[in-house]
Amino acid sequence: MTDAELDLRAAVLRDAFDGSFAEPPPAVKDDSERFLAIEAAGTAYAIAQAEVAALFVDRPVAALPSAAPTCLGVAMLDGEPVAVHSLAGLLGHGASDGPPPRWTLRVAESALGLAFDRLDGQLRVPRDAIAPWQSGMMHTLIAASISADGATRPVVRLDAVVALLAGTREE
Amino acid sequence: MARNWTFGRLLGIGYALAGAILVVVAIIGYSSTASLIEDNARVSHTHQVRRELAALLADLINAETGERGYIITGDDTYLEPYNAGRTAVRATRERLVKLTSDNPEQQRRLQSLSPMIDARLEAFERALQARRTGGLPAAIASVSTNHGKDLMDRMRAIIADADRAEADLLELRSRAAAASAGSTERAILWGGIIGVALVALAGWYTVVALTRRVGSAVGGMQSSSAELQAAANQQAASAKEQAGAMNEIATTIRELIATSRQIAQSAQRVAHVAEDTEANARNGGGTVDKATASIESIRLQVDRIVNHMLDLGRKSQQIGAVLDIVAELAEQTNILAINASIEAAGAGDAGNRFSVVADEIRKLSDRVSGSTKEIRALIDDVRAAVNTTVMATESGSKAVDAGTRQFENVAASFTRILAMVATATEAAKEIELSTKQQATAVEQVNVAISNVAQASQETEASSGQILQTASELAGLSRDLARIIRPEARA
Repeated sequence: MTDAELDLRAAVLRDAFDGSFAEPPPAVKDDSERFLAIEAAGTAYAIAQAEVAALFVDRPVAALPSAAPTCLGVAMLDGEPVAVHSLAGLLGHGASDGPPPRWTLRVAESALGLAFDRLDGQLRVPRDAIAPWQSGMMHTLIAASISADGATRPVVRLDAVVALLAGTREE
Repeated sequence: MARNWTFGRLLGIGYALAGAILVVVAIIGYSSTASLIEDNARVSHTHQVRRELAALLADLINAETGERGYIITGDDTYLEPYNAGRTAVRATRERLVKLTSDNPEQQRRLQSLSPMIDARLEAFERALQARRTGGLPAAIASVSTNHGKDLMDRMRAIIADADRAEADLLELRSRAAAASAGSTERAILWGGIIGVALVALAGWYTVVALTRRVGSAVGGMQSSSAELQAAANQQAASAKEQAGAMNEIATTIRELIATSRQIAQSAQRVAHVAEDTEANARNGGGTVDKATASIESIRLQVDRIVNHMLDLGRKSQQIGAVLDIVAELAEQTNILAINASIEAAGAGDAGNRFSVVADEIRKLSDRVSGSTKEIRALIDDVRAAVNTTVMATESGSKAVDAGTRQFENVAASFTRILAMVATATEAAKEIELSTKQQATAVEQVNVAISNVAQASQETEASSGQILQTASELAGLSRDLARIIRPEARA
């Protein structure tokens, strides 16, 4: 990248930064829903932000013996001990030889944490862009899919995850 | 042996033989003719003696007749024949003495006759004197004696004897003349026949011999002229080819002269360049020393550059560490913004405006995160460039060290080059001189080649003349062959 390009890029960033303070606050849109774009086991997924209580990064997880193969251990999230499971394991991906997942989210209204590899960002998706999950690709933890930034992401149902883990405990 | 005789000798011998035959015939003819002329002269002499004898008698008779007429008539007119006869008798007698001087018998007769003539003439004179003085009777008395008649009879007898002797001699001489004429006729006839036959034989032999030999020579001349024609043709062709080759050689040599001149000029320039090179090589030694010092300075500068680059690399790492912190802050800000957004959503309508702020914060953190990624990429590029530069400068430093060593070798090489350039300068001067000498030699060769080319052209012209001469000689030999042997067809 040349010096002129660097200067241009810096000027664009400064203008955007300065402009963000000069613009009026955007109107609240009720016809959209927010999703977290994540990646687990190399596959892109989406999670409805309404089902997430909080998001954490690089939180230490204390490994504990558990009957659930997807359980990674226990982590302190928002001052409470929360059981952390591997989202990739829950979605049926095999064990990975890579580094442990950096990101952890706490499921709303539940003492459950799900660990995943990468956070791609936050998405605001119109409701009409949310499509039901195709029957041929039926998965108990996935109910719909969204299209954003030219790609289709399956939407993971955290309530189904909670129910799945609850069913496992009952057994 | 006659076959080896020359043409002139053969003709000479033939003509000599014919001439000898003609000489023999001429000698014989001349001898016979001379004998015939002599015999005829003797016959004529005899006839003349006989005529003089007859004239002597006639003169005596005329004198007697005149004497008698005067005595009878007393007329003086009769004295004229007397006087004429008297004079003629004496003259005739003198001629007879001379004519018969070679005949002793006739001389004896004339000696005996001469007194008788004188006596008779005196008798005539006495009778005439008697007539004058004594008249006719005295004259008759003077002549009436028989003395005069006896004297006349004896003279007639002597003259008749002399005439008979001359007649006998005439017959004898006539026979000799006839014999001489026959001999001459036979000599001329047979000598001519034999001479003609011998000349014809000699001519035939000469013609045959000459025809055979000249024919052989003409045949040889025809063959030689044909060979000469062929040789002249070949010589003309060769001379033409030689002239062409000489022209090509002359052209090549002219090009060679031009090339030699160019080489001489180039050698001169090379000599000048070698001299300049020698001077530059001398200056090059000092330049190499300066360059060595400059390379040392460059090496120090390179070391400084390496140190600066290493500092730059370290500072880049520090910037990267700071950037990691910024990135982490941005990430934490993003997480806080997301969590704030989640909390705002949980707060219902009261959290909507806070949700907007949280979104803005999140966007800002996203941009910061993107910027940190770009900065990290730039820093990585800077660090890679620094590493590359450091490696390059280290390589450059090594190259400078190697260059320093090479320059030391170059300095040594310059010393050797200086000596070699001096040698090359001398060699270039020698080459220049040699090339000039070579150009001069080539020009001399060019002149020689031009002379040879001209000689070739003259040879070609001479060959043409020889060819023409050979053709004319061939035609001449054919004509000569036709002349010698008409049946021959050349």
